[in-house]
Amino acid sequence: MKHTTVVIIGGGATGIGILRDLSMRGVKAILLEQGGIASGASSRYHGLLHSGGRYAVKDNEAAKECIEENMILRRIGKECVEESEGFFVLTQQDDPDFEKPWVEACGRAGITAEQVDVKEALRLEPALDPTIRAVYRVPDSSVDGFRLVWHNAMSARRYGGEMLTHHEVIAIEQEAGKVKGVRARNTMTGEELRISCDMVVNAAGSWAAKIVQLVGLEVGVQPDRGTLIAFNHRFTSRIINRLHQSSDGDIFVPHGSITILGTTSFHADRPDAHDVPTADILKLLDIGEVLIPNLRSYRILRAFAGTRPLYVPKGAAAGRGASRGFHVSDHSEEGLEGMVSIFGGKFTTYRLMAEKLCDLVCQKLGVHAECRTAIEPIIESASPEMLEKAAKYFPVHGVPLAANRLGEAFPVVVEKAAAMKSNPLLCECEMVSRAEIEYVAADPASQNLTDVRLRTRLGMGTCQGTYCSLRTIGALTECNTPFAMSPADNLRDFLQERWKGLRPALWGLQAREMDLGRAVYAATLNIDGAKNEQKN
Amino acid sequence: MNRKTDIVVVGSGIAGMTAALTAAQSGKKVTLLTHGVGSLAISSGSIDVLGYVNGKAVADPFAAMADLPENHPYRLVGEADVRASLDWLKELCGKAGMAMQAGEGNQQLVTVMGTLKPSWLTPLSFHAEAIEDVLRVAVVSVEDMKDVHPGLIIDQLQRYPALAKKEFVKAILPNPIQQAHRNVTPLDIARFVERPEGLQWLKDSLAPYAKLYPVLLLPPILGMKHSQKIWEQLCSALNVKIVEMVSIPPGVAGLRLREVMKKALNEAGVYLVENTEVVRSEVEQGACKALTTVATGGENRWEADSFIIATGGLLGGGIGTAPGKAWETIFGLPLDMPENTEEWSSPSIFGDSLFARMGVKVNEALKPVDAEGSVILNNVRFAGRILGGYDFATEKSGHGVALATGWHAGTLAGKE
Amino acid sequence: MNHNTNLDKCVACSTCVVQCPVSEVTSKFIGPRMLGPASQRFRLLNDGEDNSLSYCTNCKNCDISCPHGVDISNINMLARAEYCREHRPSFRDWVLAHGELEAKLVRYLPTFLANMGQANPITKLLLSRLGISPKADLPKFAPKQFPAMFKAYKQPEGLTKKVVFYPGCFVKAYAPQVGMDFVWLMNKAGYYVECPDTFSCCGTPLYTNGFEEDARKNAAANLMEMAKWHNEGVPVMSLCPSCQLMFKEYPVYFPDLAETAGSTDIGDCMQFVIECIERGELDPASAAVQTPLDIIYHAPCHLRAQGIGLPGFDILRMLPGVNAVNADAGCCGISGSYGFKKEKYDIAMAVGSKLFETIKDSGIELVSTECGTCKVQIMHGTGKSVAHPLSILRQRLEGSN
Repeated sequence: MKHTTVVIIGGGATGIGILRDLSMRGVKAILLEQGGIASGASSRYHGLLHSGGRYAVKDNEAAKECIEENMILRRIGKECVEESEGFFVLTQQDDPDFEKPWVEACGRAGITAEQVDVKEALRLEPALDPTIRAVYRVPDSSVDGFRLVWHNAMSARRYGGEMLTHHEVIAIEQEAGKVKGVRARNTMTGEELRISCDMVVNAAGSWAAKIVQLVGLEVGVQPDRGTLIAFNHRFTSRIINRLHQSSDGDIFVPHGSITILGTTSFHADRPDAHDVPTADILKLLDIGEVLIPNLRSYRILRAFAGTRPLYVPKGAAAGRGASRGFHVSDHSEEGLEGMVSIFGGKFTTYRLMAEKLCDLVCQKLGVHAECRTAIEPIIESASPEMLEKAAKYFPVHGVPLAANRLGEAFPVVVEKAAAMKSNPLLCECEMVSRAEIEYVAADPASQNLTDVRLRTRLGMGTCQGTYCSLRTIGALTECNTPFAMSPADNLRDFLQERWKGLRPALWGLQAREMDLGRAVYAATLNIDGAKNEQKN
Repeated sequence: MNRKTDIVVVGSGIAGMTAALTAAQSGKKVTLLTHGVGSLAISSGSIDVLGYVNGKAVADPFAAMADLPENHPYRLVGEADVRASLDWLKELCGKAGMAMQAGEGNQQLVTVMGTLKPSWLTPLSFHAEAIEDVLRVAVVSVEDMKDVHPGLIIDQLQRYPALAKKEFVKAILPNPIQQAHRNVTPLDIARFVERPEGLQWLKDSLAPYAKLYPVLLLPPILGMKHSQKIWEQLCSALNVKIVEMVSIPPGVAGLRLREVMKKALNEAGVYLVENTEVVRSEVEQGACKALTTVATGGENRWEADSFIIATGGLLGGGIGTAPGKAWETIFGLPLDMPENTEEWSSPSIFGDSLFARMGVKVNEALKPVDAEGSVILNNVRFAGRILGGYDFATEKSGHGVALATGWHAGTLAGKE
Repeated sequence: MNHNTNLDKCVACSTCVVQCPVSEVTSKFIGPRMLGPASQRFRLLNDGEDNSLSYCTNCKNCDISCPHGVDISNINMLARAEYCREHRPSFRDWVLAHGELEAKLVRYLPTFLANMGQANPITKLLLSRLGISPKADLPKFAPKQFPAMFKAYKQPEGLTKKVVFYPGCFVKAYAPQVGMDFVWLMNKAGYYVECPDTFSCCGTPLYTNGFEEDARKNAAANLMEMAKWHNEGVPVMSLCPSCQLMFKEYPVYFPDLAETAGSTDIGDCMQFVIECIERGELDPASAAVQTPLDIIYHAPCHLRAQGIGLPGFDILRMLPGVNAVNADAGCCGISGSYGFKKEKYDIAMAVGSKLFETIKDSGIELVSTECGTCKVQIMHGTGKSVAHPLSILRQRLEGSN
């Protein structure tokens, strides 16, 4: 049995943020995640680092938090943030009376909203509808959710934090009204694990209610499904918002090599309601066309959905109307010592949420340590020398991508690449090289190809896994990466996961891509027929 | 510009090239319009006829054809023509020095995934039955060849009960060609091996393994135009059986076959027009008069007595799709598909999906018909993946259907 | 056309990689897909350009082979232009790109001086220093350039129909006789030929060598002249496949110019000749010379890319006594000035080797092709004589030579 001071449940932005914060304050902690790191809402959203403009009118407090945290993250997490700025655009369909109060509300929240001449805006963003009426520039940014969470995890590890992925919490052990420990099951091997601890932090997002149920309590966390579309290329340089009361399908976020259009808001009956109905996609396209008239001519890579863990206290509004604020709950108020939960919130304020929760945890543990997460950069940036060295082993566009993705591990991977005879790109669409993939796969947190994907963007580009999955499973089998699944099963699982995002948008260019994928894996490699013929 | 020939064929995949060749061999003047080179250039180059019916492996494709649905292209063309088309290709390839042979029943080819794939007519170098008789097999790749990993191949091959006891060994040859961030693909090496110094390199690099292992599994790297000769030379010089494995695009063996067919087209006097997309058709009284193409600029009109459309499916561009809609792209023939896209496909990627079988509905002459079975265009035939009624990927019937229907369409049109 | 929409069409099938003649012979080139649509997704995000950008020859075999309609070569050429805005190309590239200007200057020199002993060792050394391969056979300036020849030539009187001829640099400076052969054919068919002085280099060598602004000026002048004739309903045509292709691609490189100009589509002289034959204005069957002649024809890549078939080859096949076969052996490798560059010479020769072999193996002594630089390369690679299809047509019809 392991022992630690705090067990954190949930490996999303909040949980990992807490792990880092506690570790920096010298509190021993182990984090348990049922899937891979950032496999829930932290990666299933549009990747917008809010300026707060979106919340300015409705929830000025939340808007203030956003702009403050936005500025902090640009400082401490610059490898994860593209300082792309954002436009709020008043279209023909938006109420012009909303403009003035919105500008005022931005001012109150401390958000710089500077009007841009429409002509100039169209010159900067030619994909926008030419009939738009007003444009404001705000400090929106895009942020890579996977990456930010992973960089936090790397930093947490450096401070002694531990994390176990693919471990589902099955019980929270208590004695005399006090938490004693946690029981978890390894979902890959079925093995059980016990960890004794002084405190449990429930940061399970949409699954938080389920965790609370383990101790016989109830809480108002309502999963709310948001569907998003990823397009094959960047068609704007900036984040584009509609200047109106925030609604569905009104944000475009250019993001690395792609653009994401979000989001819908539907009540979900379970936290893993990740299936995407075609109707959601069509709805998003209809709305998106108001801002970007050529939208339907762009290729959809895939659609995906996440569930927002909306915190809905009894009697409050649900869905779009629910607060995006967060709530820290000390379960000692309900008679259980040693357990705290955090509900609601949003990615942009993950750090603040972690800070507030860790303040409570430290207070309960009697630890006196200041939070330093707002000051200390999450990772150390790659040096110019290292970037220059990397240019020998990575293709030109691959260098900054790898440097930003890998963070502190970049020098290690560059050395690894230097030691290899060659460092081929296993994923050509997202420019992920063999050295990077081998490094990431060797991390105990990587249990399958999907985990490797989340951390490297393997298989997330144009071909959606058609070429890279064979190459990757080949290279990883070659270097004896200890995955629980057989290579073919791992590959099938990976392709199946990609398929989930393709099939609701099975038309146009991406349908062609998918046809190629089936031709390669079924017609040429027979991985479907072999399933019943090989022992896996 | 306006041009007139006897037959216009659209598409230069295996179906289009076969149709053009067979029609030209019947003495017709044939124009072949192409927009891109067709999927043969990226395929594994073996003619799979039928590997699975309803998910069950079949030993003899011809025996299994009776179990196929009535609208399956094989049922429309008939077993005799399927066989005739295979014989025709066999002869064509044989004459070109790239013998293709069938086995007793379906052959099991080895893939670079370490799986076995049922196929029918294949170049000699792909025949893999030699593995059955030996204990020791070397699995060969080339350094930096990212598509071919012997470790994976061995791991997966040993998962077949019949191969579990074999003694496999990895053999990684040094990379003979310089490279930047470029891939080293089997195609690069095959082109190198086509040259004398490349062949020498391969012979020298394989020699130590050939002494210890009676069978060597190789990526498809045994040259291009002279693959058969190279295979024979190496096998006899090293006293070993060499088996090429089926690999992913870029397709070496597919390209070899394409080169053979393309040369035959030139010799048969087929007029090839490249880089041209058909944008319009003129139909009068149930017959097509002409097709209009565009290229980098301007339009050209191509008149003919009859037309063969082999534009491929989703991938080839013969089938267009939009949310809830699918159509044939030249004549705009609507394909009958549900309005809700979610119903098009199975939740499982290799499950039984409607979209995989969508395509133009035709009669036994491969002419398009309406729901009642009446011919819509009486001088137009369809061949290859544009046809509905089969799923090439799960059946392993892609090249087989393309060849049989291309041959059938070309032969029928040639006789008119 | 929005080239970012265009890149969406790429499904990464690798067909272009299979068909790219440069990828086939050198690993210095990362290949059309990687340089084109794959990198383009990141050009919208990051700075930086792959070293192998200059290795694309713009031969367009990627576009010809792409089943999905991605014009990969244009993505690459646009990226090259973008790159060259920040990074000035070398003096060598300037020299190779500005052949038209050089041709204008040498007009005033005697031929032997103009071609200043390209074979002599000192010139070779100078060229080599400059970065031009000493092994390359540069084309020789003609003793009298086309504009002078054309002006001196008296067209028959009473021709009521009219065509406009765009000669292009190769005809102007190196192969004026081919231009004159076309004029002769047109006169015979009943057409008066106009050849306005205002036409300048189409811009292909300028654009592909990174001189976007110079190319743009030429495009503007050419389009203005062409629009004038189009308005009068007079067809404008060119003999050179690369010039034709460049005109057709003005909308990609210079969308604003193309929009004002209307159609940028320039006609093909060979196609026009076929139309004359169809109308009965010319009759190949009545050729004065009908003796047997074997010809092996090479289709220039820039002609194949136009999707109009091979009208020059068709003309040859219509001639009595002529047995024309299509070499069908891919790119010759030269790609304008690419094959003259020191670091590219061997690549160009390796690309062309299949064609050279096919020609040599055929045992046929006369090669025919439309493209001037293909001709230079084929002569260099095979030692055979190469004639333009229209020159052959004239010889057979006229019975001269």
